[in-house]
Amino acid sequence: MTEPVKLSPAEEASERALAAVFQAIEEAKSFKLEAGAGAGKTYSLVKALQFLIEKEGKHLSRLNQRIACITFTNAAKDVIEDRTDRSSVIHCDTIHAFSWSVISGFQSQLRAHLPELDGWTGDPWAERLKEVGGTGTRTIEYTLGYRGITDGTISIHHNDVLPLTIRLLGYEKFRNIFCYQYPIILIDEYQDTDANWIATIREHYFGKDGPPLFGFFGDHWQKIYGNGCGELVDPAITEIGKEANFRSVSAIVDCLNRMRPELKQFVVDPEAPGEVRVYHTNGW
Amino acid sequence: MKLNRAKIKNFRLLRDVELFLEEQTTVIVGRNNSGKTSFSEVIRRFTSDKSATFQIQDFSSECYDEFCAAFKAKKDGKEDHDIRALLPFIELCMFFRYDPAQPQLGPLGEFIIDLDMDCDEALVVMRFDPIDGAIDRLFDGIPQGEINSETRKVFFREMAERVPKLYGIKVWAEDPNDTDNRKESSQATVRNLLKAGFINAQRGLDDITTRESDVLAKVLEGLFSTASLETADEKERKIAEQLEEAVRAIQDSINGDFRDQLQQLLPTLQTLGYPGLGGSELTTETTLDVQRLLTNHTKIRYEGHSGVLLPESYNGLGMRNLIFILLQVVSFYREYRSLAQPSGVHLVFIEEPEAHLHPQMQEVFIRQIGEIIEKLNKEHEKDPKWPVQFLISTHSSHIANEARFEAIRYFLPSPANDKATIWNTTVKDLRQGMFDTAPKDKEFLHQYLTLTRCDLFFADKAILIEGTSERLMLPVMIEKRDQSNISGPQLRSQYMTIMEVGGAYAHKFFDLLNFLELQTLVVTDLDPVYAPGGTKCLVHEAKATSNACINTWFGGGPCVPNNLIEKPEDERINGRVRLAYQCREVDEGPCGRTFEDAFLLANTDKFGISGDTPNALASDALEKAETFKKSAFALRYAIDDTDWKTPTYISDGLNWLSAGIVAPVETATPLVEAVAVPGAAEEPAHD
Repeated sequence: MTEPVKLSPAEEASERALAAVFQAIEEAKSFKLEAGAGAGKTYSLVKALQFLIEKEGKHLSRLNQRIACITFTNAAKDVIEDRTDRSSVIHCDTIHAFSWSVISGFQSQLRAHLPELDGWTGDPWAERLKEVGGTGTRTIEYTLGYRGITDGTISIHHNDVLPLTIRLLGYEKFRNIFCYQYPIILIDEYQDTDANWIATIREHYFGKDGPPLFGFFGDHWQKIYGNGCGELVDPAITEIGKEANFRSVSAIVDCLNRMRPELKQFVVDPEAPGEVRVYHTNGW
Repeated sequence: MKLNRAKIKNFRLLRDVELFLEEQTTVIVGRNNSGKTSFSEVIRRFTSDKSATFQIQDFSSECYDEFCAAFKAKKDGKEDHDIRALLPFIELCMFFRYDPAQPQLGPLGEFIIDLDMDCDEALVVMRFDPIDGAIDRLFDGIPQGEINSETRKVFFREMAERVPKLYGIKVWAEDPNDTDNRKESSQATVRNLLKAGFINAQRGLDDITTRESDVLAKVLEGLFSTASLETADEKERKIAEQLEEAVRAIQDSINGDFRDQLQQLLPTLQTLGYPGLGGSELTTETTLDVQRLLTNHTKIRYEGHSGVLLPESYNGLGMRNLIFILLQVVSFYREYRSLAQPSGVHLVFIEEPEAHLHPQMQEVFIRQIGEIIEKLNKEHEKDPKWPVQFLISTHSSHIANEARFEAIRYFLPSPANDKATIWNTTVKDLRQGMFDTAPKDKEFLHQYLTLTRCDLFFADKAILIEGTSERLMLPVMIEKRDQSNISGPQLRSQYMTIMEVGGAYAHKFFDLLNFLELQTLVVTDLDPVYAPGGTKCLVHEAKATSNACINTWFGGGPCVPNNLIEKPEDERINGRVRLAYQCREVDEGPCGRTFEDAFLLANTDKFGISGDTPNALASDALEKAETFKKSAFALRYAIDDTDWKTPTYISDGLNWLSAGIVAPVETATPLVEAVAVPGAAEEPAHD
């Protein structure tokens, strides 16, 4: 008989967070997992996906539905795909690639809304399109990553994808189709996800009955980009704190806990030695 | 989600048709050669797993001129773009309906490209079209010069070879409200969306020339294959696994004792003494698998008396036919349930389910099939229902009449040009065509057709008559008419249905008859009466008729019979329906009031009708007619004594009826034969 493994405080905290995530999924409630640096956020995300594949995978794939997993970088996408065995029921992609995959079929609306977009600096799409006699029946593509117009195609930029997606989300039918196809949407590093995109999702889907179920994973303290949505608080979202820190020792975590009392963290080994040194500089 | 309608262009007789499908069962009726089989064939070709090809013979006859026109444009140096527009294509457009508010899209999601909440259809287009850049090669090396009847043959011989190579299938999703808005797709994507199953008319049940016809056993094999799929329903998979387990056990024991014995039969290589051969000895391994056991060694048996098992073919053809169809339906159901990604719509075509069934069993078929689906669905209550839509094509009036009008689609061949050398099909949708008919009248028609086993849907022409006398004597009258005009169109070679409806109800059929474009002669009686609602009288005494059909025809007010018989013919024709009632045999002569009167008046000498005035003659005919017993009278002159003259009102009517054109039974035009490629795969006949 094997001895029951004694869990470390961090592991215990991690299990608690995961159980809360699973419960939210079971109850079909959107949730947000707030996890500080070193808390093992990606681990939780992968666990949640595995849980969903196990529980819903067969059912979803019979209905031609998938679980969306939106990552911030292609590197993160690769990691998650690897750890979920590239299950066909998971559609893991960056927000741009994912958004494009859901909007690219609606060419006629894309053509209608493209002229509303800013386009080149000081040179909006509307002007450029006027020069070529309007969008016509050109196919809108997002393959090159830079803007261009040829006889048969219009190539859009990275920065055009989300504004177009936001405009399509304004259509009821698009929203219905979208939430049928992706009844569950998990978002990694939500704090850096485009603020306008999040606002649109929030406007149309939060607090409404039925799918999609959103799962936000991230830490608004770690927001890097200016256009990210940052802290996300909404009554429709169940807050789950991941009170684990697998990276740092007690001395550091204790310090963090004093700085951020609302997200109390537990370490792996309370006895591990360490120290905090604060470097301070003026006029930086 | 369901397949709401399908449009077909340029496939054989289906030059341009649209067919709406019912929620569950749609019944396709029509005479032979009306394109019923072509409809299922075109869907089979476009959705089959194998890469579908069409031959030039599959194009509608009218397309041949379009090929010529495209060739001419090429010679005239037109742009490829313009030539492409002239070239014919075979096309299948499928409109799927869904609920935009709660889209249960499944595989249909790929095909929705509009964002209009009012649009509840998604359109899938599949087109057999010249492949990109093929136009030059299509016409390359074909002798220049005008196309005349000689060069036409050469041209189409070339086309017959080139079209299968240079044409291909394109698939796209199209915005139903914007043809420019398209999204490319593939046949494989469509196959995820729509699965089609076929139960053909040729089921091989009555084929006793091939060894034993164990058609049912074949179905059993199919059921096993489905059950052993990775994705099959768990219960069935378990059965399949147990079967395999049982066979493995047998195999193991065979490979024990059996092998030892078998081994002794094999000479050891050493005894052959050839140098180098003795190194490895031969051994035996017997393998069994369920599939082969089913194919070769398992038969379906019926339990007979005293434990004797009867072979499959000992049961009546009708029963076997029915069992076969039902088992096939079950196997389609299982197939659907075993799909890892279930299709959105499962179309099941059943051709002529009536084969070998007696009428009562034919009638229950349609009702039964609905109940079977419910029972099957109960096996998987938690899963979404089987999205099956049946298309049943039939020549059985029992099946057609049992189905509601709404479910019937009537395939009508009509001439495509003035000379009627080319025919194509029009699909008549009774749900839409009978929309304006009052529900009460629809119910009447439905009841009537069911009760009388009427074959209206399969006839070229129809005659509505009053009663038994006409029914018994009409065949002789038709024969007399045909003989009087041997060189003209013969009525007896046309397929006619005779309905005994009577003047009180005949008018209720007018909507339906005109909608079916069925040329119809309504033979009725003047039924003269003294006044509206009054008692019967002679024609010249009458102020009105009690015949509802005539009153309806001439619109409301009382019709004075003396005026009626003066009405010009065109007033008695409405659309394809012509009204016939008694008239004078000779100018200023008497006019009968019923069929019997008119019959006597047409043969005054034979029956000794006498009188000084026309009115006296009419009166005498009436008196004599009333002494006859109707059926005895009719039988006598229908069988024993056929030497008489047909009353003019009927013979005129029959002449009118014989003149209308009728779709030919064989439509193979000489052109099609001329372009037949030697050795090309034999295609099933048109219908």
